[in-house]
Parts: sequence; C-alpha cells; structure tokens
Amino acid sequence: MQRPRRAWPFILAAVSLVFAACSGSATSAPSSAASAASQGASAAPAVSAAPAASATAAAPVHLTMWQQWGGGHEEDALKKIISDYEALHPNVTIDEVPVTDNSKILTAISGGNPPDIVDLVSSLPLGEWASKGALMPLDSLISQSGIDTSVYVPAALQAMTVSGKVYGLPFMDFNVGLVYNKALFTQAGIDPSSPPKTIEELTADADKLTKQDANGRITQLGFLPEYPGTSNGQVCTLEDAGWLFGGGWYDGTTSKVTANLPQNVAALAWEAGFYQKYGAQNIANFLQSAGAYLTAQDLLESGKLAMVYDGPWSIAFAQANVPDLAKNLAAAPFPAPAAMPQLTGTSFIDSNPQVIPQGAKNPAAAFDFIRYETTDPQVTATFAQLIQNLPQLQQTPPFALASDPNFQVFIKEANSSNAHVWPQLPFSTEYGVKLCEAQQATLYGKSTPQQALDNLQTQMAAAQ
Amino acid sequence: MSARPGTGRAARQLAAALPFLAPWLIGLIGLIVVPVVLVLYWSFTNFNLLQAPQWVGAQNYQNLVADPTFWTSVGNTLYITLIGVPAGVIIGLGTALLLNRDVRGRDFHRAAIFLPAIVPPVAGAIVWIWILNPDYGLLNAVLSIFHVSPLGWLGDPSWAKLAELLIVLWGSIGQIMIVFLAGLKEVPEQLYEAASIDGASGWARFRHITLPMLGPVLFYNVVVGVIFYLQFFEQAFVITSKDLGAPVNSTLYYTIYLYQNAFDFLKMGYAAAMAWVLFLTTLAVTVLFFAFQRRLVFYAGED
Repeated sequence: MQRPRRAWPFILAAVSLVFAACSGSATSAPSSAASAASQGASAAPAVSAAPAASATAAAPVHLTMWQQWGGGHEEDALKKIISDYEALHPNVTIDEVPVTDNSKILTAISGGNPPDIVDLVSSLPLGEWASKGALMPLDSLISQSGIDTSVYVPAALQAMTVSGKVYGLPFMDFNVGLVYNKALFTQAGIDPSSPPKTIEELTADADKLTKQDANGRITQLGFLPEYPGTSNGQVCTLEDAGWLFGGGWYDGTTSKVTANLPQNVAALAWEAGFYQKYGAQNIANFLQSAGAYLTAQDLLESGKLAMVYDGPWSIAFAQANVPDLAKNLAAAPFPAPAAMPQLTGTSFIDSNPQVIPQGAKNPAAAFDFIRYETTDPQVTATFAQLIQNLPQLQQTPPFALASDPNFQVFIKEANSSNAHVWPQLPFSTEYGVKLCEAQQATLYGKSTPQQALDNLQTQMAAAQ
Repeated sequence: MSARPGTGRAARQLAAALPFLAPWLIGLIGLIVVPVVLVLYWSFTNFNLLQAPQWVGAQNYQNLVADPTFWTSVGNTLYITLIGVPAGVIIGLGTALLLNRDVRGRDFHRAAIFLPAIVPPVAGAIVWIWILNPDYGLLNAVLSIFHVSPLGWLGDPSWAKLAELLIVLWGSIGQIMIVFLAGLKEVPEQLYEAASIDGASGWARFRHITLPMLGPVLFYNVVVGVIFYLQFFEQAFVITSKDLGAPVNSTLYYTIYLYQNAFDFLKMGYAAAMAWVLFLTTLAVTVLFFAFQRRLVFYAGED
C-alpha cells in the first residue's frame, strides 16, 4: 500500500499537466457557451441600437475577419481597406486572417466560436450554410443601417439571397464571356476583328483553330467546353451553357429542380460534340498537360487554346505573365445559338459574399465594416481596378479599367438580363458537384446527355 | 480489507496501475471511444453539424445502398486495394531479397529505395503530378524512348487509379522493404546450409525456407496494407483537390466521398454511416485475416 500512495501526487501532477496541455485547444467549449449566451444578448441590443456607429463609438471593439483572397496583392488591398476603416473608427480594430478551407470555417461556426466576418470567395456554400442556420440573416441590419440595396448590381445581390433573405453583402463580382486570341485567329485565316456571332459560327471557327497530329494528339485547340471548370468560381461550365441554350437549372416559381430541360440537354450535347470530333482521350491528355490555371503554362496563356469562356481576370493574368500574348487577347459577349440571338452574352454571375456567422460576438460592428467595404464607391473602384473584377456597385467613380473595351464587355453582361445566378438551395453544392459529374460522364462517353441529366434530375428531386 | 488475499492483491495492483494508465486511458476515451460512439449515433440521424441531429433510423444506411456514387467509390477502393496490396508486397519482398545479398553499393541502394518513405505524401504527390504530365512529364518522355505512345495518366479515367497507385507505391515500398529485410535477418542461416547439403535449388530454398519463415512479416504487411488502402485518402485528396474524384469519378475513393458528404454537402449523418460501414468492414477483414493466420502463418517457436 505504500508505493501506490506515494505515487499519487506525481500521477496527479502528470494528469493535470495533460489537462493543461489540452486546455489550449479545448477553450472552445466554455467560450461556445459564452458566445451562445452573448448571441442571445447581443441580438436584442443590435435591434434597438439603430445607429451602429454611435453604439460602438465609446467602447473599443475588436473584430476578426477570415478572408479567402489568400495572400499577395489582394490581401494588401484588403489591409488598406481595413486601415482606412480603422482611421475613420478609432475604437475599432480588425484582424484579417486568410482561411481558404471552408470546412475550417464551418467547424468554427458549429463549435460556437466563429470569427466576426467571413469574406467568402464564392456564394456556392451560402445555400447550404444559410439554410442550416450557420449564417446571420442581414435584412434587419440592412434596414437599420439605411443601405439602399439598389446600389448593388441586382444579380450580385440575388446571389446573396437564400429563400428571400439576404445572408451576405456582395463584394467584387465576376462573370464570364468569350476571351479569344486574335493572333491564332489570323493564323487560321479567320478575321480577328470579327469574333463568332453565333454558337454555330464559334463551333466552325473552333474546328479551324484546332490542330491535331497523325496520332490524334492535340497541339492547339479552338475551344474546350469544360475549361477552366470550377477554377474560376463557377459551378461548372455546363451551368453557363445551359442558360446559353435557353435552359436553366431551377424553377423558382414551382420550386423544382429542372436539370433535364431539353435546352440543357442540347447544351450538353453541343459540348459533347467536341469530344466526339477530336477524341475524348486526346482532349483529356491535352487538358492534363496544362499547367496551373492563370499561370504562363495554362492553356490560354501558353497559346494552345484560342477561345475560352472565362472572365476579365484571364486577360489580366496574361498581361502580367505573358505580355506579348496578352496583346492579342480580346473579349466579346459569348455567342448564343443562331435561333436565340437575344441570349448572346449569357453568363453566370457571382460575388464574394461578406457574411456574419451565427454566433458572432459583435454583429452590429461587423455589419458596419462590411457596409463600408461594399458600399463605399471609392473602395469599390480601387479594388476592382486592382484585382480586375467587376464592381458590385452600379455606380463607381471612374477607374482606368472601366474604360477598357474588353472590361466593358463584362460590365455590360453583368447588368443584363442574361446574367444568371446558381440557385441558392439547401443542396446547392451537391447539385453543383453532381452537375459536373453528369457533364464529365457525358463528355467522356460514359453516358448520353439525356441519360446523364435525367439521372441528375432524379437524384436532385430526391434531395429536395 | 479483503477476505481472500489473492483478490486483495489484484485490486491493489489495479489501484496502483490505474493512475499510471490514466493519461493514456483519458486519451483513448476522449479521443477515440466517445467520438466513435457519437459517430454511431449520428449515423442514425439527419445531422449537418450546425443543427441538432434528428433521428431517422436506418435511413442513411438504406440511402447508401441505393446511391450509385457510393458504389463507384466502393469499386474504386476495392480496385486499388486488390492491386496495391499484392503489388506492394511483391515489389517490397523482391527488393528486400535483392538487397539482402552481398551486392555492391548495397547500403546506397537500400537508402535510395527507402528515401521516398520520408518524403511527406503531399509534397511527393505534387511532384508526381508533374512527372505524370502527359505532354511535359518525365515518365512519358522515358516511355517514348521505348516507343510507348504518351499516356494521359492522371487525366485518363482508365489510368488515373493506377497512376495514383504508382505514387503511393513509390512512397511505401521503402517501408515494406525494411520490414522484410528485418524479417530476412531472422531466418536462421543453418536452415539454408542444411537445405544446400540436401541439394535444394534456389527456388526450393525460397519456397520452403524463406517464405514460411517470413510468414509473420508477410502477414503484417498484408494486413497493414489492406487497412491502408481501404482508408486511402491523402494523395488522392491532394491530386484532385480542385475537383474531388476527377476524372469522371475514377479516383473517388471511399474516404474522399465520405469527406465530400461531410464537409461539402453537410450530410454529416450520411458520412457517419459511411464511416461506420468502413469501420465494420475493416474490422471484419482484419478478424478474417487473423482467423486464417492460424492455418497459414508459421511462427517459429510454436509446436
């Protein structure tokens, strides 16, 4: 009995050490209870304290913002916005942290210890997150702050809206159009000053712009329907093609998924036509050989792809990486089927949602920052110029890019009725992923367009 | 205290042992037992991480059976397991046998083959993406010397799994080889001498001495290999991080689909059901292996 008794103090010390080591990561447990309490408490004052600025004027406020721009010049620009805001509101300090992993954001929210602001790179997770209560609806904060939401590009605000409620303020829009390499057009004997006007013309031009050797190996391609895939923030390229052919993916009036509309099937069949002509495997090898998107080795910047359905940043990155080639890049509205000329310039549109997680400790102060960030015209113009994205505001002070004819193509598209938003549903991400699967299965000959989209329709109808 | 001296002593010993075991026990209960039980509960619920779980009975398990993507992921996982485990064992054993002999530069070769095992899997996978590039890749360049037309590797649905397997084998052969080398050192030299005196050929010595004596090592490598491939995730996740399972779901392994359901689709209950199916499968396979082991594996020192 002697030995064990003597051992106890040491053991207790050891165990308490282990607990001490654990507590660093375990702090979320007590603070989650605290934040749950403060959430209930702070939600009420937020409603009564209408002028958020005056409420926060006295006490020092510290906010944490998780942002998905990453590092580099975009982070620097964000830091500039933050320091300008801090200068206007001396009691507020904001820490921005790059957090690109959505699952990390999600676990922080579910753990009850979220950041005050999340700056998301795409609205795709919004439907899932909002419908499960991860995000704070902003409608009452918007009406209290007196923001006139008509200052925003309508489609951008629509992308932030889930079942009638606004869950984020849009910041920096992005959409796609036809970006083409005039030098390759000239080489192929096509007039570089007249890009294709219909999808039939585009398909014919693409054939002229494609070079295959005797083994079928592709050295240059006119158009690649699945490129650049999800890399540019869209769900997948079929999303745009469906709208371009007059189809759509969700009927808001009947609240039904419409994956297998005949127009969507026609769009997928058009895409698949390229793979049948050139050989799916040849295209796969060509695609796999490309370096990372938006580097000098990607298909557009290496001069191996003549036409791409992509955004203004593709030209901007080319200007930085391969200035000689970039001189020959031009943009035009993406052509529609000859029978539907009014659909020319169809594109998805999305924005970077500035959201406040459910359980954030100081929603009023957080909202005041995202209000400043997204509605200040000068901030918008500066950021748009810097990262070559579209302003989310309809009116901004003049900036150099705004007068660039290529950039104007995208601004015009963004404000047209052909700007579409991926439906914000409780299963948006899953729908998007499965849409890409259906597209891939068809392009690589595992399924017909009709089968693939019928199958998708069945799966998504079940998810509803 | 105690009536019988024996039990009293055992209880005292337990009382003495428990505090020493406490740090480990707390870890086991807090980090393994509790999560495993919670996951079992969630697998019977509709759970999205953010809202309270709702009991749905066996619905998640029924949905699994009816989900074609689930079966695709099962097929992909079986594919790499059934090819990866034998390939790893055969190549590992082969290199171990070669490097067990007195060849020139033996230590250098051993180090060179083991080296990839210390490369972090993520870094290795990123380098391999370039080696396997269809146009500029090193591997196709080497193959073209032998007039093999370039392959799509990671971009080709029918090659992508094999390409990833190649990456994994490159990283794991060293480890397998080292274990086999250690096993080979344990084979008593006099057995070979006796066999030589009896006129046994090289193959006969391998078949009747080396292989039986390596039984436990072989068994270990197979079991560890099967468990690894059933739960294969890391390299595949890095290679297809932008588009999980690409191309055409040909690299959508079980754990990748599990991750996608949990964190992309927020179907935590469904993912929990997948996790339990995987857990039970792994357990069943391991139990089965140990049952067969009695018949197939020879342990020196047993009678």
